[in-house]
Amino acid sequence: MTVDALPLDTMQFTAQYELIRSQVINAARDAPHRDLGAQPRGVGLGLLLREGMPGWLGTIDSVIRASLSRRTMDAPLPKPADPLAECSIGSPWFSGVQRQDITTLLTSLVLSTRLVDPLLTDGRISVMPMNSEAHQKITAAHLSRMAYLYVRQSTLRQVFENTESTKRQYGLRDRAVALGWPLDRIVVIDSDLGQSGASAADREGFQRLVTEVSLGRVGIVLGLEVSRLARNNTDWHRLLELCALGDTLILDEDGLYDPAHFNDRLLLGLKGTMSEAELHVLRARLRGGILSRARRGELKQMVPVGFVHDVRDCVIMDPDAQVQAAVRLFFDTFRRTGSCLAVVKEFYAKDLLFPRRLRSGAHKGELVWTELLHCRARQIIHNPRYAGAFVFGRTKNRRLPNGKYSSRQVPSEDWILLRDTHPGYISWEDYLSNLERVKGNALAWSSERHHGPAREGPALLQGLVICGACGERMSVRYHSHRKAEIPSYWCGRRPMHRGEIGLCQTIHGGALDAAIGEILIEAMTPLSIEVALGVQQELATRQEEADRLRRQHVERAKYEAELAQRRFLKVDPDNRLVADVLEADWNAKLRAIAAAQEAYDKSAAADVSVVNDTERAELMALASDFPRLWRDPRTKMKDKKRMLRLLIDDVTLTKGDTVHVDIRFVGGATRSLDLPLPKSCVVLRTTDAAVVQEIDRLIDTYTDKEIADLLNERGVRTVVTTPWTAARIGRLRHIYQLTDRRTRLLAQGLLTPEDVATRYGVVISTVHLWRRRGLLRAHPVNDRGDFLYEIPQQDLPAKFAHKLVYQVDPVTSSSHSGRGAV
Amino acid sequence: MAYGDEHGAQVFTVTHPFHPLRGQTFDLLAVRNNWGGDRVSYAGPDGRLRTLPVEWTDVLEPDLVVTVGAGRAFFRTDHLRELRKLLDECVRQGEAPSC
Repeated sequence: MTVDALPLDTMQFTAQYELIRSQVINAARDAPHRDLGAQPRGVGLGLLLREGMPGWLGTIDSVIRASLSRRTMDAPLPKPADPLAECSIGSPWFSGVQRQDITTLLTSLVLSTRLVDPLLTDGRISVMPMNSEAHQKITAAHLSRMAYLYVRQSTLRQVFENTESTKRQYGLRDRAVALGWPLDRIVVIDSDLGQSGASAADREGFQRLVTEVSLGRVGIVLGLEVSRLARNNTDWHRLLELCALGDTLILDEDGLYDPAHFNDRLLLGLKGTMSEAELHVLRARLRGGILSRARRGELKQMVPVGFVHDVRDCVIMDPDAQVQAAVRLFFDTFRRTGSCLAVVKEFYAKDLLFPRRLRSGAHKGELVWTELLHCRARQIIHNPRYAGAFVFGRTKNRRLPNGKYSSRQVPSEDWILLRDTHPGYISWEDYLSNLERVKGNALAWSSERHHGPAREGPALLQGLVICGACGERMSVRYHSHRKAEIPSYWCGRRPMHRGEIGLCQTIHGGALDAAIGEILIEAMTPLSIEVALGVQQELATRQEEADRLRRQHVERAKYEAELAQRRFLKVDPDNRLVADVLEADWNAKLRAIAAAQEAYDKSAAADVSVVNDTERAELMALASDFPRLWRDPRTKMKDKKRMLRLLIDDVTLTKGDTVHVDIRFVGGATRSLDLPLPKSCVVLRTTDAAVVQEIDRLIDTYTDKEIADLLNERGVRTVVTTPWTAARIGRLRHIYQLTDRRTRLLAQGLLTPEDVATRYGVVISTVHLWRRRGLLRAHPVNDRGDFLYEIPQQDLPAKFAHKLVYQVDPVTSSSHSGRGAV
Repeated sequence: MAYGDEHGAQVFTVTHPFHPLRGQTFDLLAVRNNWGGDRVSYAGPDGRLRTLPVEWTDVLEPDLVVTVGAGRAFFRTDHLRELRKLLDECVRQGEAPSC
């Protein structure tokens, strides 16, 4: 048979070959391994190519013989000295026809392989340029397991456009066949097409491959190159380790490797490193291009809502007037309220929606109107785009082990920031001011360390009060009193830290706040404003000195950084624990330099700002405007607090016999005052001593009801500002143990009706009758009609006298005649 | 002021005029940014670790405006400017009477 006569359908040959080979392998599985000979060898095409037809047939024959001998048990066949001769003589398995067919088939297959594989040279049959040792890596154990071909392209675009690479990867299946794996035992994993090899997290196919390898089901892993399998050293070395443990081979376009062999492992490791480095180089190249464009401000980015790109890719304001109005309303509201949350609340209260441009999905790029969320409000406030600035690099993404990304905020000094690159909704100064206000709001959680933002509550000194006893900041509590919230300033931090019960001190805020307000108004005089302006003028004239003083901060920060650097350089590099700490300290000092420099620039700019005549007049007008606004009841408490924070640094309170108040103004002046301790609840609920004394005096003359009426007529009220009643007078008499009117009258010698009746020998009703007729002078004891009687000068009236004439004017017989004396 | 001194103990003095520890000197343990502000860490009189705002100590140079003002000035010009803006803003919003 000549080569020309052979059919060149490789696939057909391959299929027939696989049929025979699979039968042999099945026979080999049944046979004990020891019967295969001392050298475990494969029975695939690799063996044929390495050792030629005699070796291949000999191996197959030995496998078959071993299998048959195991089945017959009693009559094992003798092992032939010459496998080829034995086969030719008449193998129990190979008939002459079969042998002829197999020989023809394999010859055709080998020759066809030679024709299609350019690597074959000089008639030496070799599929790959590997040494003979490498060829011996494939064993029956490998061939009995699966071959996994891993196919991957990094992006979908590559899948569609770079089809040649995909084709080459699929072509490796023929290599597996050539090495001895049947087609049905070659598994192609191509589910990761379009997935980057930078991580195994999202690559389901790679994970499946690793799983199969770890379970020992894989005889060989095929990949066109290492970078197809992994571009991450962690994933790559994990796969290598599993392959080494599971006796799995790896094949790429360049050769066949056994990860259990040191040299192969070394080479594969190097290839993995190069693969990862290649990815880095690719990224760096792309990143460099992006950064270069960003530094010129030409990088086209997604713009926030309110902006769009025009036909020249320039950023312009959204031509949609409704969108513009919404964004402007947002910033106007923030300017008024000073809080993102307040803006959101106001949008909700007015049922307003905010535009949003979809960034992904089927409706990408479309504008929708949604509710304004707080997180979104914060994003808008922090976005320099709204101030007309180009910015790049505000966040840095980091891939997590689970494949997700973590976004980290980058310090603003590390941004690429170009101002005034396009129109903005706010000025750059407004943007910075907004950031400061938001930053101040965020400090509310650290009330012990900062005063926090001005809130709506009526506590004027919220966040500004320092405890004069312990030096910590005092907090605010409110209590309701007649539907009004009354503030109190509490300091319980130190007892709380020490696990003690009680408070350091607590001070009523009502009178204190009022006093502070009055002091502010007193201080806001034309003279004090002149002094402040004078200091500014002096700073401007002493700019050089001021600059020197301010620069000291920067110099000191630099000195600190140098010290930190020196300490770091002195440390033993092997002492990583110390070195890491010192390095962190050094970094902190470097950041401090930047902060000091920024503060220096800011302060220097403020120092030299000249106050012109117009501004001076406006500032001087504060002397009249501020008190008027402060006293106006329509001024919100929040605005009052904002004003206060521009004028006062802090207020220190010390409670003793009085409340000692020390005020530090922002200009450096101080003011102290003492306020009387607020009355306690008991004191506040105690009737004034003068009123008690007056009531005591009135009891001599009047009954309780009469006293109550009399006090009400005079405008005197109880401690709870209610009118007096007889019952209240009675309770007050009881509380203060005032002698009641009856006892007092008896002490004056007045007689009870019983005494009078006994004295005159009449019944009591006659006494009452005499009183009513005016025959006896009587004084009311209470408001129930009880009387005590004066003793008449003469022994009148006589019995039945009341039936004669009136001796006494009834009108003047009671105590009412003395009312005018009260 | 020994802040940043490479040799010997670093100490600082409380300069807040009304703080209960005013005028007292402590060993400076660290200056750290906590909760958005620089704080001086030191061992308090009771031996516990305490902190103070750095502005209340002599760790920082005294504020220049305060130094020049020498206790005469109640206010600062930049703050008065802010106050002027605030009053004008209140007037604009109609939440307060015209100034």
